[in-house]
Amino acid sequence: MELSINSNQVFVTGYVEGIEDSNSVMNALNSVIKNSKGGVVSLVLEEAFVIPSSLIGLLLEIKENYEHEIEILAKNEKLITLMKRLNLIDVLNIKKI
Amino acid sequence: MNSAILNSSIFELIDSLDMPSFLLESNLSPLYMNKKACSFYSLSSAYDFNLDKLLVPHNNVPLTELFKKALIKPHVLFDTTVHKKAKIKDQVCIITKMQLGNQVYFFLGLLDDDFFKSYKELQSKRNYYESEYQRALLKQIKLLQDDLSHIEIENNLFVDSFFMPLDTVSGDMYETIDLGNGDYLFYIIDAMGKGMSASFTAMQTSACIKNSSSHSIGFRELVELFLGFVHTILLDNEILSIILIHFTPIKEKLEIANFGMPSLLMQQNQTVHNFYATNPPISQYTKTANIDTVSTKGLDKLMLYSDGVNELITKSNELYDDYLEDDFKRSNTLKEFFIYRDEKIIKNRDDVSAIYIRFFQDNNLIKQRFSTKSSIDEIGLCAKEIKQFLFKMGVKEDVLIEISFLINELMMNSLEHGNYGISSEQKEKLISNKDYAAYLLQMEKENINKKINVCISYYFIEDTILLKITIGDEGKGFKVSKYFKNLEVMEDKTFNGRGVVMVKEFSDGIYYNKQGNIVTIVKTIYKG
Repeated sequence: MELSINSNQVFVTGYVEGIEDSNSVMNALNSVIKNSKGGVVSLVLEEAFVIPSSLIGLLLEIKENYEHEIEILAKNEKLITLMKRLNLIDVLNIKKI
Repeated sequence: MNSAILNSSIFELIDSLDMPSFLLESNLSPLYMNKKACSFYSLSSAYDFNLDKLLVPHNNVPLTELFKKALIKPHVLFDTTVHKKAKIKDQVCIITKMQLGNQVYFFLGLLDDDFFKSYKELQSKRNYYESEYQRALLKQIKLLQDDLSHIEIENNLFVDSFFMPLDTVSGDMYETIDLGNGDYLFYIIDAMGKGMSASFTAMQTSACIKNSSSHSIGFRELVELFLGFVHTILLDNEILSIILIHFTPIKEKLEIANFGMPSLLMQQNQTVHNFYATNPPISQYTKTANIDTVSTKGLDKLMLYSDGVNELITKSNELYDDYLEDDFKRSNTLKEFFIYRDEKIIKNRDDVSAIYIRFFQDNNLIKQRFSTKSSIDEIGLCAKEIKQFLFKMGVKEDVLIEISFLINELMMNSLEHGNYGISSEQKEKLISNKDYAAYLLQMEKENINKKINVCISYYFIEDTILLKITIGDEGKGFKVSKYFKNLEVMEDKTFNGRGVVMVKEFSDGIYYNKQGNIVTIVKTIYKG
């Protein structure tokens, strides 16, 4: 998994597999939130077909506790299907790119 | 006919309508409106009509999307808020696609107050019935006693079930009951008919069996007690089909009472046997029961099911029943069986229930054990070590990523809910108060020496390679059957609880020991 940050967007290439990857994404999102005053924070997932439940928890936490809006821009259709199954499309503002 | 004539006739038609109506071009720019629309919106010209300013659909669907839908469906009805000067009014609109020559137009009309009233009334009745049916289904699921699904009932013996009503409430009912002392009762009821009446019969029957099974009586006595009760609830022309099995794995003994249900399928030493019904469906006049006793020596798997599973037509217009035995034979779990079945059928035509019991023989396998201390970092390292082992075993990259995800999710569960003993409610509260990370560090200090053990088993079953991953912790465990029952009605906004749903999605089966502190997942990774 590789991470890059551009303004309010966190780009993830590869798969978010384990606890280490989840923590890296969490840290990147936290740093974006810290350095910006509100607005939309985007997590762009290029290949991922699944995201660990711990990361889902953090995204919900951001939505609940911060002024920032969160959106997930996902390329993989499998991930979109899974998020639909978990009723998270609207809650996490997930969009297909 | 030229376009001017076409336009003039359509304008006349719109003028004659008794509701505010517009004609829009295919790019949604306004072309014409009738007098009703003119006075309703206080507009002097159709060109002043601004869709997005005047109509706001209630379901948040952009208007352009609704017009796109009208290209597929002849009429699209939608609820809207109409802004009329400063006033806002709820209204129902209709969009219709009109094709005149080569030109596409859209007709947009506001339906009158009478229609609006009837539409709202119907809508509220529909919402009421939908919510009532949903509650009835939840009640049926709540009443259903499923002690054993997702459980490893004895060493290497796993139980799965599937239940899908065609109507919201079902005439099918299944239960899996732990009788204690290594005895298990499984049954599937198929009451005649569908919907409510069949559901009443099924629920009453299951209540009787449940009650009888709690009295430590023999299987024959239980069947006779239940027969005596069923007589009292069946109407003159009603019948009830049911298969009950009493399984004692330690004695390798299976008793079967089958009243008009499809055959029980059992595979022993790679050979599939059919055990057909030896009793007709139960009517008011049924007095006796034939009970078959069979040995389960060499058991690989067995499946009991309702006729909704096998009595349907395939996409190639054949009877699915002809494929059932093959699909059962090549499946390693119930989920796999339904994947093979659903590839062939068009759609379900009846309630569908099935119970699947799988035994993994401890031969033809490679085993590798891993162990880790209770810290997030150690778990990460252990998961990587397992991934390297699987890579060396030749697991392909795409499957490896799925398995790595599954292992990480389950090890985290073992750590948080097992060795750290954090309940879901507690986790929810800690996350909500932003105290979770600090609490995990504290728990790590207190529980570092508790172990999480992982065992990877590689089975070679005919031309298939099946992976069985078992993860155990030192926690107290949890009530597995209650957990899986609640899984489907999870709130969207809770911070946790999605891990197991995702594990179900990416594995072919997930099972816990009875205590709930050892989890096993299976996944077929190679099909020859």
